[in-house]
Amino acid sequence: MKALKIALKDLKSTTKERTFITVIVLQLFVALFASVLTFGLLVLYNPSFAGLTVDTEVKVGFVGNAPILEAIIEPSKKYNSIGNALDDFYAGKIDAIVWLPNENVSGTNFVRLYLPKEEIKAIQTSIVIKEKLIKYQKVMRDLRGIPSSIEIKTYSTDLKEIDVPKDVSIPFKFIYVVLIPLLMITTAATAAGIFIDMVSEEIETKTIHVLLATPLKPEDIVGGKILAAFLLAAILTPTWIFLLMLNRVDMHNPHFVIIMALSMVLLFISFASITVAIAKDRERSQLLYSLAIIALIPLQFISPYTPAGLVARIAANSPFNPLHVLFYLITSILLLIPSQKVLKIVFEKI
Amino acid sequence: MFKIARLEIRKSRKKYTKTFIPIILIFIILAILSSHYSTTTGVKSDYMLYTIATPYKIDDPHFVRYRMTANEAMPYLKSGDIDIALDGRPPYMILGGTKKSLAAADELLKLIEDLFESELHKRYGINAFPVFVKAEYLKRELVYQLDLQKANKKAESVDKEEIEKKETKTEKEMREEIAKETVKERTAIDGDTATGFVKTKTEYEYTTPDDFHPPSLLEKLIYAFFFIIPSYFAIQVFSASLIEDRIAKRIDLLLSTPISESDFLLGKLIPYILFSLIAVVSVSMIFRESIISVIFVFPVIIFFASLQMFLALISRSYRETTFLMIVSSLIVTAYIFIPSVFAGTIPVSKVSPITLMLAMFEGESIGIKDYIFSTFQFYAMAFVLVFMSSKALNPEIMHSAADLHHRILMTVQRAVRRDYHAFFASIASIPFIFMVEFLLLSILFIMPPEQSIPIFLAVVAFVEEVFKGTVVFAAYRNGAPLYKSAVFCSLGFFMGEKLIVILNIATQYNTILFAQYYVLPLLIHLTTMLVFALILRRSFAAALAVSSLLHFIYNYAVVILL
Repeated sequence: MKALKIALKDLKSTTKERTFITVIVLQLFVALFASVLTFGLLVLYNPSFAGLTVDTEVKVGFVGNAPILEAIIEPSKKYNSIGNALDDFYAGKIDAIVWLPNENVSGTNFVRLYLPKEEIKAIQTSIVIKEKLIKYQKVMRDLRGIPSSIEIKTYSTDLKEIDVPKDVSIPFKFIYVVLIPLLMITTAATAAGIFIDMVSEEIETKTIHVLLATPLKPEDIVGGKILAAFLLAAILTPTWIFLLMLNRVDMHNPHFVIIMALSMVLLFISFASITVAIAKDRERSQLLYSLAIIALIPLQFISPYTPAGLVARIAANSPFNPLHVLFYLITSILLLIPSQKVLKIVFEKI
Repeated sequence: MFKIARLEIRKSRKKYTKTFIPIILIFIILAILSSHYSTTTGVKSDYMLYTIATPYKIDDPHFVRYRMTANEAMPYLKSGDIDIALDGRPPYMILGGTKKSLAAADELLKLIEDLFESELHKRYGINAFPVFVKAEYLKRELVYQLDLQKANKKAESVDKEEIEKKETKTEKEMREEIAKETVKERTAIDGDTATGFVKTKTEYEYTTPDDFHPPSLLEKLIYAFFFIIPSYFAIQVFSASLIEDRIAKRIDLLLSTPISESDFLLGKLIPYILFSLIAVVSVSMIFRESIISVIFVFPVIIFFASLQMFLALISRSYRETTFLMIVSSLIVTAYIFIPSVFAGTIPVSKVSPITLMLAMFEGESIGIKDYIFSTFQFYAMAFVLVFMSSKALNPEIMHSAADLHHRILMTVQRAVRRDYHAFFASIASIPFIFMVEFLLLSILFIMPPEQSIPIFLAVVAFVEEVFKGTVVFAAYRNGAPLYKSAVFCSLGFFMGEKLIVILNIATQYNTILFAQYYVLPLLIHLTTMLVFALILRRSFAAALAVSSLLHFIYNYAVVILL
């Protein structure tokens, strides 16, 4: 009860500072930052997917004696020398040059492309030319009697033929493998970060002496601080899950996602307690804590059994073992006990 | 100033004792080991993401395979428990109706294609790969246009002529280079045609058409983090030390001595900047890159440090600082890293010095013009932030219990005392507005244009009005003539925009600021600010709302009309 009172007092001052809104903004920002990165990837590899209209009317100049390639490229102009083609390229009359000095039906053909640098057009042009070169490869393979491509038909469950958009797996994986784990980690990291501030502030401003002079026990104070940070995360987690759902992301097994996210919060609070116990003041504890976070984040992605891997599968409705979720929950609760003890000793010694 | 720096070092020595430094070192080593281990292992958290029903063997850890025919799998496909089924000869695929099943199908198709290509290579060798491509990207300096609106044609033709004159030299060089290279390459290919698959790829940078992609520095991006991250920690310690001094009221004590505000701030900052620079040099040496990388990281460091300085001085408590620090670090990180993703393909990528640093690592030479273009903004913002921090060094602000935006207003109020100060203040706000608007551009990427363009324009209008409105409000609260301040503010903003055009710093961004239309922007700035001033006597919020609305209508009209 006493711990709850302390927790509510701390939460109250947190809401007064509009911290909650800042964290939501923070999470939105993480989502935005990550989306733009994915967008970058998509636009570079497949602009039509990212919603950019690919202008197929790119003006390509062609140089060389290569009738098959020329017929496939359908150049807007043919040049007899690379110099003339470059003239028009620099003058902006053509957007790209395709150059194959001599076509070799039985050997290897080395095609050179000249594209404009630092222009959005370069992406569009290279995509158009890429498609044509793939076609050229197919024709050349056919001429050599080599199977040119493999075709697999795709059907829906009512056996109608459907189209699988290229690279559709990139945004899917981004949401489940990157974004959801990142949101889980940021929530935990911020909640534990606040925990450090709440504890170190009491130590540095010496208000801890006042608190200890009251009938409150040190474990009540530590418990209250942990509870405050935990409650903040407990409000934040359903918020980002809801925001994702609002964005039409399918969130499967939300209860397991919440348990995983809150276990992470407890885990991070344990790390935070240890850093405060070592350093005591805010400056050094935050430094140690950030270093610990930096060390932890990359490790999240190295196995499907890490919290990040597990939460990805839980949210995406992929096979997972609920016992693994239980394992993380129990471990995080068990780790809290020694860290709470350590902090209690710190408080008593002050 | 150096006295303060020495004092700061002495203070740190007390904290970072012989027992504490080894602890930090252990944590640092752990962080390095963990990132090294993760980069060598690669991402595996996406394993077992998809489920597939097939009688065939699937050797890919991303798929969990259930051994059954498509027919047997049908009920599971419909219920969503299995994503896809692969069956038949020739093989076909059945997808459950979810987004996930589409993603699974896409991954499986890629997997099959890769298997097919490697099988071809096994059976037919190099003969199966009749075509190789190599792309070269040549710079031609045309005037860039944003898709939002067409650039001013008149300005374009003048610019083009000028640029073409400059371009001839580099073009000539380029051609000679191409001629030389071609001769080299031909002899190489003629001499040894059967070089084999792998060698061809690495020796001449040729790829098969399937593997051909526009250039990207994406892989290099993680590399760039190592140059920046150590400085982040140094700056974190700096802001923590500053806020500690503030809360312990040590700053008040120092301010009662003859030390000036800026000397105090810079003195405190110097040790951390030096530490950061040493870290950048060490990282460069570890990675065997040129230590010139320092000149690209330096502007980022001083901007980030001055931002943290300002935030540490105006936040109320440790908690608020922590949040502001996390948010600001993310924003700065996004602002310096996202443009590099688009390096080499989109001109805006050069807004970040990190893009230039990565380009330098790739062997490109960086011109002074490019350097100034990408770093000027960072230097300017750092300067303004140190100035603002010196204004925030006031007991009334540092120990006030007011809201964050009130504290910011109080700080601005100490800087903008007379009507003509509004002129300079609005010029000083331009680099910040530019940064905010640049980040806002990302809205255009994640939403369809019908929605994103109006939202973008509205937010841009609001952001600009907030900055200008704050300046005018500050002057007004100091008793400066309201309408005169409003006129000075809009003139300053207009001049600032034009300065960017004249200095040709942001050729490609004029469109974002709508700076290419000469008299119109001045008119709109004047109108919105005068309307703002008119309503301000009643309420700041109402004044801001009306002026933003007016500004939005103007922006929208410009976009629709052009």
